[in-house]
Amino acid sequence: MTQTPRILHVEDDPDIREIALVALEVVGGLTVDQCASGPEALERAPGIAPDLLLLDVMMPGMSGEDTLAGLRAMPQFANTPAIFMTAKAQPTEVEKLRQLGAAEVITKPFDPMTLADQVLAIWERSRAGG
Amino acid sequence: MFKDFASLLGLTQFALLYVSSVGGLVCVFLFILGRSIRISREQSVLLDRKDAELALQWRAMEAHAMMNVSDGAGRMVEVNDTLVRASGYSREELLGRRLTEFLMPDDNSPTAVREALELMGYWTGETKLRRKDGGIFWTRTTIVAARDRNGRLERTVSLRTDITEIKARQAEAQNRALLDRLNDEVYVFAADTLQLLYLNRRALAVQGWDNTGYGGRTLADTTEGFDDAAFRDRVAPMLAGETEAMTYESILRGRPVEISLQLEDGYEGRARFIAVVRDISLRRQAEEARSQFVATISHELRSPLTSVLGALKLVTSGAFGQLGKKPGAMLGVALRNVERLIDLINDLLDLEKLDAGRMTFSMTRIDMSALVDEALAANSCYGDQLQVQFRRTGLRAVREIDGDRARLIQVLNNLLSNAAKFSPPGGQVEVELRDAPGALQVLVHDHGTGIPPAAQAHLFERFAQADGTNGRRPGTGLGLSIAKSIVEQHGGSIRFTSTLDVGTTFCVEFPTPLSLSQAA
Repeated sequence: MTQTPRILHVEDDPDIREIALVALEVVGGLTVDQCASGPEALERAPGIAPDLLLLDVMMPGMSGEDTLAGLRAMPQFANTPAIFMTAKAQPTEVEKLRQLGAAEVITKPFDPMTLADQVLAIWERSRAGG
Repeated sequence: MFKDFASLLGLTQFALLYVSSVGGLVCVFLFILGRSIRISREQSVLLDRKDAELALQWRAMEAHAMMNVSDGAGRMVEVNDTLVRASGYSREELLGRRLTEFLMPDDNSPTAVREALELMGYWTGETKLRRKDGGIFWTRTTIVAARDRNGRLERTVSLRTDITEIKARQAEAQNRALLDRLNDEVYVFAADTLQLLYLNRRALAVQGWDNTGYGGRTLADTTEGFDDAAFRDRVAPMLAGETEAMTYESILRGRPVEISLQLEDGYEGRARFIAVVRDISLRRQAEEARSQFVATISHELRSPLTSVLGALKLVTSGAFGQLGKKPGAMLGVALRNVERLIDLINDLLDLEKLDAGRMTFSMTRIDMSALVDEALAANSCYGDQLQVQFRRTGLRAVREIDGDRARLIQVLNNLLSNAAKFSPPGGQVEVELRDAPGALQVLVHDHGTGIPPAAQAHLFERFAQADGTNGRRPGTGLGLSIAKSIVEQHGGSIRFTSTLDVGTTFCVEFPTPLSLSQAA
C-alpha cells in the first residue's frame, strides 16, 4: 500500500479551507492539518510534522512565500515538498513561486474532485527526486 | 550749364564795351563759337553717361526683380526673363494671359490692387503665385498704373521681388516658436549625417545646451550609448520611402518615452528627420495602476469563486451522496454559470495583458503534431458531454514551430471547444495538420450550423458571438479575439470559411522555424 503524506494546509479563507479539507480528506482520503495564517503554521508545524506543505500565497500579514521561508529555516522542513496555491495565474507569478523552491503551483479555482490526485502526483514526483 | 550761360552773357557785354575793332569782333566771335562747341560736347558726354547709368540700373532691376507690363484688360504684353525663370512658364505661355490666373486660390490681393490703382495709381503688397511645376512662390509686388487722357487704364507695370525664402523662414520661425511651447522634446536632424539642425526649448533644457550650443553635434550626442547602426536599421524603411512616419517606445535617460519620427524634405532639398520625444512615465504609471487594479479585482473574484465552484463540484459530483433530479439540475445550472464567470475573468485578464503588451511568451521549439494530440485529449471529455467526436486527420509526423506551449494549447482549446459547441449531437470535428509553403497549418472542420454571413465580419471582435450553440454552454465572446492576438504574436494568422448548415473550417497558420530563419 502506498504511504500517503500528512499535509499541512495554510489558507486564510475559511470557505476555501473547508472545500480543500473535503477535497483532500473526503474525496482523496488524505490526512490534512489546517492553519489559518503563516504565524500559526510556524507555531504548529513542528508538532504536526507534515510530509507536504500546501500554502496559499496571498495571505494578510505573512504571505505564503514568507511562511515557506520561515518553515525552511527549521531544519526538519528544509526539504519538505511545498505546493503553492494561488489565484494569480500569470506565468511570471508561477515561475517566481517555482524559483522560491515550490515543487508545483496549483492555480485557483482548483477542481476539488481532482485536487487530491494532483497533490499526490506532485508528492510522488518529489519523493522520486523530480 | 546756367553758370556757363551767365559767363557767356558776361563775356559778350565785356566784348561790346571794350573791343571796337572788327578784328576784335572776329576774335570775340571765334571765342564764343569755341566756347559753345565745348559746352555742347560736355552736354553730350553728360547725356551719354545718364543713358549708361539708366541702362545699368535697368539691368540690375531686370536681374533682381520680375517685371511684367499688362494692357488695360490685364493681359500681359511684356514679361522679363526673371519672371519667366521664377514662374517656370515660357514667355509665350505668359504673354496674353492675366497674372491673376497664376495666383493661389487663397491670395485675395486682386480686389485690393483694383481699389488701390483706382485711388492712388499704384499698389504695393504680397502675392502668392503658383509655379508651372505646382510649387508656390511669394513676391513683394509694386504695380503702377498708366491712364490715358480720359482716365482709362492703359497700362500697368508690375515689379516683383521673390520673397519665398523669407516667407518660408518666417513660417519656420513661427513653427519653432510654437514648438518651443511644447512640453515634448523636438529634435530636427539631417537624415544622412544625423547632424542636429534644431532643438526646441524643452530638448535644449533636457540636454543642458543653450540655443547656439548644438552646432556640429549629431543625434549621437543627445543619448548616452546611442546605437547608430540600430537607429539606421530602424529608419531604413522611411529612407526607402516605404513609410513617412513611425512611432516607437524606448527608454531614454531611465524613463519610458514614445518617439515619433517624421521624414521630410528641408528647404535645401536635404532630407531631415523631425523627432518628437514624449515622456510617457505618467501613462505607464496609469497603465500599471490599471493592470494592478484588474489583477487585484480578478484575484478578489477568484477567491470566492474558488469556494463556490469547489462546493458546487463536490455536491454535484456526489461527494456527499446522490442528489435528487431537480436539485441536481439546479446545481448543475449554478455550476455551469460559475465556470462561465471564471472563463470570463481569465479572458479579461488575458485581454488586459495583450492590450498592455504585457503578455509574456516563453518561446520554445514545439512539436505541433504532439500539441494537437494533447489538445484533443484535453477536449475529448467536453466532446463526450456534447456527444461530439474529435478525429485527427492529415499529417501525423513531427512538425516543429517556435511558440509558447501554454498559449498555443489555449488557442487550440478555443478552436476545438467552439467546433464541438457548434456541432450537432452525434457530430464529428476533424482536426487536420498540414504543410504549407514556409508554414504549418492546423485546420479545425466542424459540420455544424455555420456562421451567419452577418456575423462573419465581426467574428474576431470582442464579445462577438454567433448564435447556434443549440442552447449549450455559451462562451465569453472573447476567446477568438484572444486566439487571434496570440496567433499574431507568434507571427501567424487565423482565418475561416463557413457555409450555413454545412459547417465551418478554422485555419491557423504558423511560420516554420526554417522560413523564419530565411526571412531573417
